[in-house]
Amino acid sequence: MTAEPGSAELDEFRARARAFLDEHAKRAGTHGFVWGAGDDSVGLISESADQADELEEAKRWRRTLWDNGYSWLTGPVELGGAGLTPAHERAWNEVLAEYDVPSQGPLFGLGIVAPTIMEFAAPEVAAQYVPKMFAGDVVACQLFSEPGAGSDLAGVRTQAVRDGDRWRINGQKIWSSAADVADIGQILVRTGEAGSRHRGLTMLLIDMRQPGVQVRPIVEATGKASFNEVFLDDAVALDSHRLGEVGGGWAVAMATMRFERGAIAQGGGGAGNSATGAINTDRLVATVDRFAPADEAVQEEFVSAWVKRRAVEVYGRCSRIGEVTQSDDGSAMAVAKLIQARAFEATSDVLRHALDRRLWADTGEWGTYAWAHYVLDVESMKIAGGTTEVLRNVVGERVLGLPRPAGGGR
Amino acid sequence: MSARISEPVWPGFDDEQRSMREVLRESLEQVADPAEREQVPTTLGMGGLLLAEEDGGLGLGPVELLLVSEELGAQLADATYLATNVLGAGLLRDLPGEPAAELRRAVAEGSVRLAVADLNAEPLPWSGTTVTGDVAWVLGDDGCDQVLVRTDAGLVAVAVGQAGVELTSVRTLDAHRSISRLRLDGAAATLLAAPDPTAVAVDHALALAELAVTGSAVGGARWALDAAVSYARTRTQFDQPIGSFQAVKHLCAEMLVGLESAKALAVNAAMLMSEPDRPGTTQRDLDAAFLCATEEYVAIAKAATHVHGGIGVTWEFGLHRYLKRALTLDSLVEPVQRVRHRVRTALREGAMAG
Repeated sequence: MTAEPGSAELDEFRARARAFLDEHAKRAGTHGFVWGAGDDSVGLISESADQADELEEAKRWRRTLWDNGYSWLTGPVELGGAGLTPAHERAWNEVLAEYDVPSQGPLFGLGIVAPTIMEFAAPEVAAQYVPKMFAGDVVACQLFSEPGAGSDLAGVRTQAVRDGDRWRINGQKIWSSAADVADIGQILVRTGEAGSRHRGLTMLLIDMRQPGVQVRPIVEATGKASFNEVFLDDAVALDSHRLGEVGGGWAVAMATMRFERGAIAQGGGGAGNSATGAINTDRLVATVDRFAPADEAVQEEFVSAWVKRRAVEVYGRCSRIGEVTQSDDGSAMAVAKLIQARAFEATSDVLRHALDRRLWADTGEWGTYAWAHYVLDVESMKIAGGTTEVLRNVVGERVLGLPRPAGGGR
Repeated sequence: MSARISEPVWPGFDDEQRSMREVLRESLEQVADPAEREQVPTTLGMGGLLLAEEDGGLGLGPVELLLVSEELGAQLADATYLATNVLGAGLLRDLPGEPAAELRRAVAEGSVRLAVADLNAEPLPWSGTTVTGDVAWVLGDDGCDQVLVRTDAGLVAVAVGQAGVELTSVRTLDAHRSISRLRLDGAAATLLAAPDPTAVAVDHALALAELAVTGSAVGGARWALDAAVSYARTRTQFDQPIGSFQAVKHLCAEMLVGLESAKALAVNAAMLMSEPDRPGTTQRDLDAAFLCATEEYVAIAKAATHVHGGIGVTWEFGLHRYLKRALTLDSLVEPVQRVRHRVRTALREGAMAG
């Protein structure tokens, strides 16, 4: 652990980072938003259909960052990281916000799978994959949910049977983002007896590009596919690629989900966009003023929605004020995602009321029908990465200390 | 948000701020009588929190104000503090001249209680020595020593209890806060400042009061949530603590989500206010904090009442005092419509500049 940097050191780092970004990226204009300019699409979840280009662009940018030492700021030097502190990372994010850079949506595994591998894999396995992930050469996905195990993740049935130095895996996973483009997958499997619940689970790292793994995109309400089903038919994972202990998969899954909720709440991860849903506030203002300039109800509603959106933006920076956010058990991230859900919901309502029929019938007018996609994505966001109800249980039990239900059910 | 300005990260309260909060919290908890509780901050030497040291004050700022307001709000004990030590001190702080300095010293040592007449009302006519006119909305009770009033010649102080001054408390829902009507008929008054410095002082005082009310709402909401959670843990029905039922648990969880939003926006606003030279959107962020905290307080007080079932609506249990307080806060100092309108305008201007 490097010592806490002084402000002179951070200033110097910022200057270097700016010099690098000036050379390799475009500075975001002070004109954040111009009505009618550019693509008006607005969604919360990156889609497979767009992924071929987006993925290539994301990988190229990652490679540029890697080659210049900005991809993995807090990573250990021996693995190619920059060996810097979280303070440097915050400074980097501040500076980065001044520039327009390619979306990292398809590489969401960086914020979620990479930290899990670092924490739970054997050092040589971490050394094999994590640097490549940060260099944009390896894409990772998560394989947790199953058709019969959603919120009740301990009901996972996909089975792994030991076969010498490897595991043979059979079963089905669902709701995996980027599984269609991933090179490796972090898979939660049952290695204990059926019904062994949390205790009988193990986490493995598998090669997604093997014959026993078949991926099928799921088309959502938006008509686009963002998630996948994954069929495992005698798929193989090396025991050396196990994450954590045999039977210790639950703890690994919980760690991963903490990373995931954090990444979503911070705007990386599955959201692929900024924490408030990649919507420039000015665009919202312009939309409301253009289509409901004299509607007091909508104007009022918009102020309330803006306050909720502002809370999302501020929460991460200003949350060290109580017991909740000092805890490290995922409670803070659960709270952050619930705050975000409120903002999404409020924004969705404002758009519906401001746009009226333009929201659902495409008049060809820029910046109108495009919002339908957002309104639909909001519903996905309240489910992905932990449903609102599961998160309320987390908050109720871990933060507020309310008792679990009698009998262990829900 | 047009120009992207990197925003500050909250470092957390420092040791001094934390111990200040602890002392205030413990002292408040030891006093049962509501009227005496109002005096606790002055007894602890926090009356001059916002005033300069040469006036006997502590020379502290928005962050400490937020913290003190939160503790006072949690005990419904901020009526005197808001009128005298926040609005009053905020108005007086930078005014030149001996009369203002004298009042500042009195505020710091706790020897005066101030009422403040609606700062957004039309200024009353000043004759050169006296004031005449009515103000319908005065923060403070009929036992206050002086009322600060805006006149066309600037801010004046009017002593209560003299001829030509009628300060009458009106009936309010919140028994812990007094609102009065003021009728002045040739009342003698002391001119404290000319119109221009008065206007600056008014803006300053209103912003501090807005932050204090925000803190008070956060504190009251925290108290209501704590009450609901401890009740949900211990009250059993169907042989289980009611907090184990998702319907109740989720209600409590959403209360916390609202409280956390309000706390974060509040410290963000306090932090921005501590950097007066910062370019940008401090007032807008203060308004966001205020709107969030006051709205969440209402929601949390209602939900807490609901979690308590029948007990929650009884006079004796006292939760109603928090619900009533919550219902008053958004329009206590300024009408809330004005705040919402200000946000709306600021967002529109931001978009046009962008």
